[in-house]
Amino acid sequence: MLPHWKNLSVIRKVVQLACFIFLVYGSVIIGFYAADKLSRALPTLACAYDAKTADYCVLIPLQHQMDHRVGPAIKAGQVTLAILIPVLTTLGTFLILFVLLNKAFCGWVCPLGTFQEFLGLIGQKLGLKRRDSLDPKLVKRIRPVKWLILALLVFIFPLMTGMGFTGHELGDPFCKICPSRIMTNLFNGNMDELRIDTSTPGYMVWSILADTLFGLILVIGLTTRQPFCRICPLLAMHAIFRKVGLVRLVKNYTSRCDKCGLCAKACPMDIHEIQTSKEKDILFPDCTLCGRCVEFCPDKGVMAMKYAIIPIKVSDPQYFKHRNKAQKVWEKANLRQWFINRKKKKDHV
Amino acid sequence: MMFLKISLPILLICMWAAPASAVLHWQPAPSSKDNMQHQRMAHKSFILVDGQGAYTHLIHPDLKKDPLLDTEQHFAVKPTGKNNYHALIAQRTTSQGTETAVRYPYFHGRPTGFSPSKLTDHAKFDFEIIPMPLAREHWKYTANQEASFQLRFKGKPLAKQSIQVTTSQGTAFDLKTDSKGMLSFIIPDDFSEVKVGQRKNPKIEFLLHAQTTQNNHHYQSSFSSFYVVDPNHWRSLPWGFVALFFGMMIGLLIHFKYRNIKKGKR
Repeated sequence: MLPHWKNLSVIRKVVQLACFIFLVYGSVIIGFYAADKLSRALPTLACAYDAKTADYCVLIPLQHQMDHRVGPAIKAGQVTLAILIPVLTTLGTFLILFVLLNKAFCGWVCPLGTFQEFLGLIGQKLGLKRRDSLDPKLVKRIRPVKWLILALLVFIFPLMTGMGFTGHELGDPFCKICPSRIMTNLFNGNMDELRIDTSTPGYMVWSILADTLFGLILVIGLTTRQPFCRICPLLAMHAIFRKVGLVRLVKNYTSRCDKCGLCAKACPMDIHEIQTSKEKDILFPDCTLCGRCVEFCPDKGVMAMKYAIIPIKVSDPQYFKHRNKAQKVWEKANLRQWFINRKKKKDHV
Repeated sequence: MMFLKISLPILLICMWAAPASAVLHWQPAPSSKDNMQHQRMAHKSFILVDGQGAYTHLIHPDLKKDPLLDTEQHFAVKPTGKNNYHALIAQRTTSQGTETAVRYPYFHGRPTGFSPSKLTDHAKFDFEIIPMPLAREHWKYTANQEASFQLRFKGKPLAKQSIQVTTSQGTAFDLKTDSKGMLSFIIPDDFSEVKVGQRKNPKIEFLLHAQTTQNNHHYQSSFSSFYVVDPNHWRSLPWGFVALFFGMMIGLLIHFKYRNIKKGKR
């Protein structure tokens, strides 16, 4: 039997829970203004709309800088270094934190990611039929959406608003539809972010879209792994910088990989290329560095998660055997199975 | 025309004046510009009401002090280049006692690494009204929302002390601090005419005023700030639930569609 403290998924869940509490209720622990906010640009979806959080998501300053500084400066033809420095500072802060943790922010820290895993957990414990892998064609169709959202909602629309081409409704459009804004506020007992804003048709459309998207995630998240992560613009931003991060995912390809495919099956983001790739570096743009592929690789030393050159987790047949067994036991323990067993017992009596 | 030129500014000042005009307090100077716009590097103008003979200064987020220069109680405060709340301070000591006034305007600039609670906790007067906490950045005091304050004398909470709350819309009520010197109240929803949209409703003012006599010396203190209209006047929760339910239905449809495709494949 694998002890919990050796189970990477259990360790990750503990870290996720601690980060969730800190990022959603942080100000209760360290005060509203932990030295001018913990960070102006912590690359997670800890939302500034949340009354109790202690930091900001990087996407808020970026949208505001496009709307209030860069856009007006372009319009006036006065783009100077002083205008660009705040943008570069935001991206620089993001980059420093990103170098330290790479895309592990998504898989280990992000509260919205944790919430979606929690939804999946509820679905699994209710015994709902889970979709283990999405169709590769569907995955390929979904992948560009995150880039589109990053370009349009984080940069282009706010920039156009700053230049006076569009109304204030498009000043921070990603925040308007972000599910983390609704989720973190609901966890604080505040339902205001669910309200439909009827002040202008534009605000009304954004708030309807936001609530619809959140409802969609609530249901799809029960049976599909990480539905919003697949279109999250932060995942796209991470992808730009992924080569400079210290946390790496490496693979020593063997011919057995072609027949196995357990790593791709374990991947919550359905990155089928993990199995087929013959490259050493397998940190793909959609990866959240959750480490499940390494956990479920049955061959010794084929896959590894490393911090710089230090191995954090290396695939191992013994670990795989115990981890797989623990997973089966975990999945069997659900409400549906409980009813089936109860019925069987009654029939037997 | 000449009459208009003279009377309009006076009329505007009268309209902005909070009701307790005899109390030493800060209030924004009337401006023709849209206050909701981000004019980050523009100066902010304030009036010190009943401020004859008062000593004034500005405290930065990092607690550095600057004297304030006025033109007949009219102060044009330039941004300090530091991000966060600053404190406008006014103090006057006469034979009748000590009067003080504080207001916390927000200025944009580079981060200082200082929490605004350092500024509010910093002892500015003997007798002081402390916001607990200040409205968070990007947040504002809003009608129908709770605001909390503490009354302190020489740094210690002052229990069972009366405090008057007045708004520029004419609402006035008295409150008493609890055993920890704290008081909380719901900011009145007293906008005379609520228009749809935050930007269409001008900010209005509220003023907290307290007085006490300690060791035969009379102290008066005021805290002033603006508050904005409650946006829930035009935001609907029931329709929010309808949209949420609609999204959940789409989710179910996608789920069943996928399940049927899978069954079909088998």
